[in-house]
Amino acid sequence: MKNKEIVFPKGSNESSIFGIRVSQAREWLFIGGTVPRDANNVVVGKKDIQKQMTHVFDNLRDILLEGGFTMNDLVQLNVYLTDESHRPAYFELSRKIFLNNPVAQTVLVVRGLNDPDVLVEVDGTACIT
Amino acid sequence: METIRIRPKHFPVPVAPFSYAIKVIGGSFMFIPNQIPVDSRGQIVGKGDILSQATQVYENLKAILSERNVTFENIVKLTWYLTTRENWKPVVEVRNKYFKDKWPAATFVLLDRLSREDVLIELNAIAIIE
Repeated sequence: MKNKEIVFPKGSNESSIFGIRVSQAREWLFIGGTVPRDANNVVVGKKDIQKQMTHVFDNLRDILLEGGFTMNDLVQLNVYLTDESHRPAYFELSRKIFLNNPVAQTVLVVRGLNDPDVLVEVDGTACIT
Repeated sequence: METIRIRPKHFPVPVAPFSYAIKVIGGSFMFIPNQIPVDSRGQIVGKGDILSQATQVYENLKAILSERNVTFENIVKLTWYLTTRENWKPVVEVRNKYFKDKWPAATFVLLDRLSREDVLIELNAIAIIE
């Protein structure tokens, strides 16, 4: 059995019903709230959800790389949006990013994040088996 | 067991006490669900008082960690929920009494309401245990 596998219930055709089984993980990465700030700690793309989502995922990739991980090592991701109308744009982007590597995602629309200019934030877990 | 705090070189040094990510090699984990400000009898403490409620959730967290002989230094991930941004600073003051350094990877979220109407703060955590 592989150390990491996507688990789909037998007989289910619903792609969102799945889990990710991990065994014998050697390394874990616990990622805190990742926001669309640049190297000068400035929030990018104010009021621009596309720019902010892109920057958040760029920052996420950089954090993973610094730890010796890649996006393929992500197993769980929480996504915090501040506006319900941003959900379709997020799903369109995440479908492309996670096309070949499903991640257990939870997407929430919340009242606010640490900075009122931040429209999207993610946190999550990665592991290497 | 080894823990490494991760910061990409071009990322700014965090101005708030948190880590961007924490890498863990080896060890086992304790996943702690949302803690609310109840005492050991299940009674909500400090109604309307964010300082009392924040202290209670951190004391609850401390009790859980102590049961496995670990401390706040072992927390790798912390997520906390408030209903108003006004409560952020007082909660940070309380937090700084429990975390001295070795800041966890953290996420702060504002919600319309928490699990009960008289609850002003909730938090959950992941800790590593040797």
